[in-house]
Amino acid sequence: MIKKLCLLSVMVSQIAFAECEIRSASINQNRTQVGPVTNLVKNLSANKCSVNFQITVNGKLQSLEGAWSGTEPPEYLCNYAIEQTRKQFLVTMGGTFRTDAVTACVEGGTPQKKLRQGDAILEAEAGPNPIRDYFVYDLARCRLFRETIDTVDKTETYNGVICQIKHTNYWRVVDRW
Amino acid sequence: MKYIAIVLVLALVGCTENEAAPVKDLSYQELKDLPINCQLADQQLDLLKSLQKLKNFESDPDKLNEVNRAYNSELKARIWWYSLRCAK
Repeated sequence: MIKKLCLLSVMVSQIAFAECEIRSASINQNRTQVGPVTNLVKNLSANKCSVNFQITVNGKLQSLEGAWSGTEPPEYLCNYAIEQTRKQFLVTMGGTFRTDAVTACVEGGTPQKKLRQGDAILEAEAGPNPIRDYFVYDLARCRLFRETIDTVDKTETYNGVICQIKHTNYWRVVDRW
Repeated sequence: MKYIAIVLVLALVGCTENEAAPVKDLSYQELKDLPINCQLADQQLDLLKSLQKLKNFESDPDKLNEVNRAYNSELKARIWWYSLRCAK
């Protein structure tokens, strides 16, 4: 009976292990505890969004401010401003906490979704490219995007083009390299 | 007789000029050294797209090795640059 139980427990642990996925190293997987954005104040002017907000990092409340300018709709400008300010802050704090990569097992889908040529996405799913201008291609409104994928041993950068699907809020990934 | 020969030579030259010139397989450095100029857009786009056809890279960059990925990136970035900056 004991032998059977041992065998069963080994089998269960093997099955559980098989369902795990290795998460790549990223800012969410180190030991930094980052809370949600609070007390957000947006200040919109022509093609620019300035933001003031607070986040809790490792239990300490931090007040941050930043801005993003471009030709995108105001809501995207503010989102980029928040994202970039937050990232920049965490980069500057990088040496103060343990940042070694964590290999974790998670259930469900992969944590970082790569865009694929042909995907229909929301515009905000494709990160901003340093060239932020919109342009027209095949009568559609398009822009360049850039995505950075962290893998266990390296960071890969991809560029590409997304174009708005007519009369919808969706954008098609028309090229990626 | 002389005239016929001249006409024949001219006709042959004319024929060869009309044929599409074979695409030169540019090195990565040669590709990077190509001029980028809206006034040359048509000519440059023809060349870049011919190179793209010649290279026939996988559309998924993850399936390319490092060298081919760099070449493909340079090609695509240049092609899209013309759409972005030189729209008529």
